[in-house]
Amino acid sequence: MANLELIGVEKNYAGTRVIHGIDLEVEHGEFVVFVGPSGCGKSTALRMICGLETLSKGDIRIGGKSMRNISPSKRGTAMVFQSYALYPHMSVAENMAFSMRMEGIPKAERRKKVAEVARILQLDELLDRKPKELSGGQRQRVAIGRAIVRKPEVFLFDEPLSNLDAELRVQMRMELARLHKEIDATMIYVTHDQVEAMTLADKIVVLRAGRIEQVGTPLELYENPCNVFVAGFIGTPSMNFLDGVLDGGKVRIPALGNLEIPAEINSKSSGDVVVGFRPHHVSVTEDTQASLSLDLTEQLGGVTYSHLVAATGERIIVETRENTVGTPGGNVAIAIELGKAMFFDPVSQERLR
Amino acid sequence: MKMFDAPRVFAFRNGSPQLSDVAVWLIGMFVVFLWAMPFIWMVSTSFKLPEHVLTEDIEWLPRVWTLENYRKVFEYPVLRWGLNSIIQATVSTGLCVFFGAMAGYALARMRFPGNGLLFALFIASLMIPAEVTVVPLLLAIIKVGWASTYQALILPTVANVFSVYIFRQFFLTFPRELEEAARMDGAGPFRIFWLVALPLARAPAIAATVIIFTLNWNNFLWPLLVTFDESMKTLPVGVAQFAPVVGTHTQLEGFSVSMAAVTVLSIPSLVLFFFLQKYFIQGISQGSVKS
Repeated sequence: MANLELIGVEKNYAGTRVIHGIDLEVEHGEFVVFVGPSGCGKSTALRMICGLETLSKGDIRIGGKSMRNISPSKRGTAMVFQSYALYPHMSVAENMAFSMRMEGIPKAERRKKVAEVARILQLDELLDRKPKELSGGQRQRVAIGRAIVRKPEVFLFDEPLSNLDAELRVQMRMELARLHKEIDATMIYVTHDQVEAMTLADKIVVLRAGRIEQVGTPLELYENPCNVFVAGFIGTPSMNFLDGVLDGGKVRIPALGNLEIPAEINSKSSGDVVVGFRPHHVSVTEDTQASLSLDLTEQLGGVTYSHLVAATGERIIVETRENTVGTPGGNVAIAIELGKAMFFDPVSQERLR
Repeated sequence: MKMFDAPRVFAFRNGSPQLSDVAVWLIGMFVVFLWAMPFIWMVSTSFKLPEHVLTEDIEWLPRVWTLENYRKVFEYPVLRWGLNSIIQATVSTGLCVFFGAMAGYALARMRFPGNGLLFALFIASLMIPAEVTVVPLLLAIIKVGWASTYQALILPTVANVFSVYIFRQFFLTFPRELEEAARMDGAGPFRIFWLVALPLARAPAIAATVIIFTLNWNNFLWPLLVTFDESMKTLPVGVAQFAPVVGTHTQLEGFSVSMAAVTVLSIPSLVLFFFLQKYFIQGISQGSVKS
């Protein structure tokens, strides 16, 4: 039995539908990441799971039990907020013990449980401090600790790392992954950062405009996206898309000087298609006769991103290991690795297979 | 230890005084002088002999210092009046701040039908002068047999729109996630208010306390009407007896004695204000300057 089920979940705000019937099953112990652009409904979905938002339609079940009329504190969920939402006037220990205090658990037991969790999160030394005396990373750990002491069935994280600097974010990401292994709990994590999604998730749920676009493991989504949106959203830099024309098992790409590449597509035999390929599935050579011009290069040390412009105006990003691939303003030619291109329908945006 | 942060008089641009800075300072000092003048005269007169009060030119310092005026004031049950005033002002202020915080929180944070209308009515009630409500209120108090009691002094003053307003403005800016975290932790609306919101509302609480305490301490009309008994009078009502009345002995000695009485009356409010003035200013500006 799934640990968490979303069944036809809908949400309307003043007549506007923001979540359009989401169905999802999450197994016990899974780390599921909701990812998508701003306003796609990922935070709303999370808030509906924990009960801070009501459902307009559908049902949410945790451990097989409907949560429709269950208050947020009784759902067996715990939330880590983006701003941490620590009570500023309470010490770390008081913050972590607050839910137990509300339940009427005796002081001695509260202290014991807080100490236990503080040990796991290395907060032992900080228990008497107030939140304002802590660093961003420490506050984050207290917020996680406050969630852990409740021993929830499902942990919910609402963009918990977005207030941290880049270095700390990487560190906290690893700590979260370690914590997930240690406490073996179901975790739902909302982020718009797809690196976080790729590194943490057992399963990624890609959302757009209140709908689930695709659900799968990080590599499934990366290697086998089902539409243009998912293909473009997962992967950094994002996938290149060029217009192409399908005819007789081959796709001709005008932007690449009518280059023809083989295409095994069963669902369509001719007509316009969108060709997608990842920036690192391309090799670049300097060629004064070629139709692509090198607009600019970004050198990151290990890799170089070259931004190319085609005669058709379409733009291409190429990722290479070399430091230079040509001179800006000069012409270059590219070759796409065989079998690495994907094809999409230009109207429905769905993958053509 | 510094009791409070004194505001810096000059914040010079480019490190040196500008003409406009000096002008602002001069205007400020003039206003300060205007406000302080009667107070200084009051304190000085309270130490003068009666015959040295009404002079042709204003004399800022007594020719002869005397405590006689204070002795005369304390011939009356001033301490009892003071106690009454303290009880009335503190209990009333405490309740007023508590109810103001609850109402302000509800108006700012809870969604219920008529929320906006209710707040508009609260504000509109400021336009009703006290004189309009005082007679029916007095009749009601007499009818329930509360004349010359603490309940009569306190209860009609425990609801104050200003207190509601100042808390509402503060709670409008209160982070929603803190309430949500408390909800997830199992706190109901009252515990969220009591354990999370109220402890963080120190600035508006102190501002409301100072203002309402001063109002209560200086309240004259209502205590005058409901206290028929000399022992139940409050300080402002008692002190009013020292006001110089033409044609009586108080006409001559009245000024110095009444100024001594009024000086005694003003001490508690002043002490409270000096200790809390930092929070007072913070509380007033809250909501208007907070981004």
